[in-house]
Amino acid sequence: MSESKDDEMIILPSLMSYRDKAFHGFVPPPAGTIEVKAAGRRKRRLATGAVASVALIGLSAFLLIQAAPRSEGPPVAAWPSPTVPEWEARANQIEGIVNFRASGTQLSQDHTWGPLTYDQSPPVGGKHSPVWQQCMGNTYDAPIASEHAVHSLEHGAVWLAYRSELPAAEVDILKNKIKGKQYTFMAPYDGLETKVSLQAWGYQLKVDDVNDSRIDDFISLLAKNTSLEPEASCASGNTATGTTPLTEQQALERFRTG
Amino acid sequence: MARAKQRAAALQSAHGGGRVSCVTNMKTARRSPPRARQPGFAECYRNSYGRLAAQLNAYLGDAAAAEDVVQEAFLRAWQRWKQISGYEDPVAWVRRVAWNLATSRWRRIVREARLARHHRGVDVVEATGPENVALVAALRKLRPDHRRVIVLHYLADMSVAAIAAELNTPRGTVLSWLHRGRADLAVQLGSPKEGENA
Repeated sequence: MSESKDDEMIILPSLMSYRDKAFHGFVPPPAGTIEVKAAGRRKRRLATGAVASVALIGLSAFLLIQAAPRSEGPPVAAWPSPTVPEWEARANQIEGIVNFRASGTQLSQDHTWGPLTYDQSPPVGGKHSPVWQQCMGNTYDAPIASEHAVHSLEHGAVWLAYRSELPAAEVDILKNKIKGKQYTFMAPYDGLETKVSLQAWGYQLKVDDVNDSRIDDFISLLAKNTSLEPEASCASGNTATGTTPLTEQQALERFRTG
Repeated sequence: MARAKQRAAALQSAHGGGRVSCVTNMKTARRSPPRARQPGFAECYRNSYGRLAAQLNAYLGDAAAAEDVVQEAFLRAWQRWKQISGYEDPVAWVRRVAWNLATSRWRRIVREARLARHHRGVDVVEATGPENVALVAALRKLRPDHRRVIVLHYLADMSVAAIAAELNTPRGTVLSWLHRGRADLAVQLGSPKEGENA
């Protein structure tokens, strides 16, 4: 069956790239268009029904119109109206939070191998490695590659970066906020101007006190909610530290055995 | 074969699955006020529309037709959402309806009429970006049943057993379609264009 393996080597990269990227090209039309279609169809059905029934017996048209709304499912007005989600409204009230989404900052979602540079430090989004950093409440003890971390942000994770020189006692306080919490991860970050910097996709908050309650607010409001791919996972992914991202070859070797 | 599977699994875990589900959203939706009569539908629609349309596009090779059947399927889902939202995986229902629409004879006639009028291949470029044109063009050249299992397995992340159940086809047949589809697709993708303008 070695030919099968060769076939997969040829076709998988295209298929996987298509699966992960092509759907970005299909934007659902606003819910309203389906609503209008449904209303139009209901009217049309009623009209056709009425004509047919009149041809048979006038009375049945009356009965059809009476019965139709009940058999047609819920009324059109039931479509939920788009509103700002509660988490977003509350997140914007966190003092000092920077909302890059609202300011229209362009954050690419493209995948690419190799080291990248980012406009923000630590980054809040943009091009990233095809492999994400595992974000199941992992507490990494050494700096990690931003290229992997940004991919985790895309999946909705909150990335807690702390100054590398922070005393162990303060790091432990932060660890208690992250450990075991899905869609979060933390790691030291070299050259941080404040003690702590929190990142979600398009959001950032810098604080200088590990006991600041805004850290907890940021985590509880933004983790998972900020995901651009609502079903995307934080499990698996890269668990290694080091600021150089994995190469494609390394990634394939690592995930083949793991 | 086993190693190839491992590699596929490795790539999938490294890149994230193509599966879509509304189950997690449904849980939060149930907690919303009873005023919302269509719990979870909007999220479901938003989250899964793109992936379903991309999957159907890979099967049909026509982005407009793909969007058409997905929208129609969602429209039908909405009309009986009360019932469908109770299913374990509402998206599976929508996907099945969309695929049935895509394969139905009537749709095929309409589609072919339209394709005859327009230049083939234009739609593909628009929606999915140039990097995917070669794949969609290659998929188009497969037999429909081969193409269908390739798309369901590799793009919709369905297991062989699930595909066998959904298509009401023996497992061995699905495996053989997959095998032959892979081989044909590898030939298409591996060889440079042979005077094709697709």
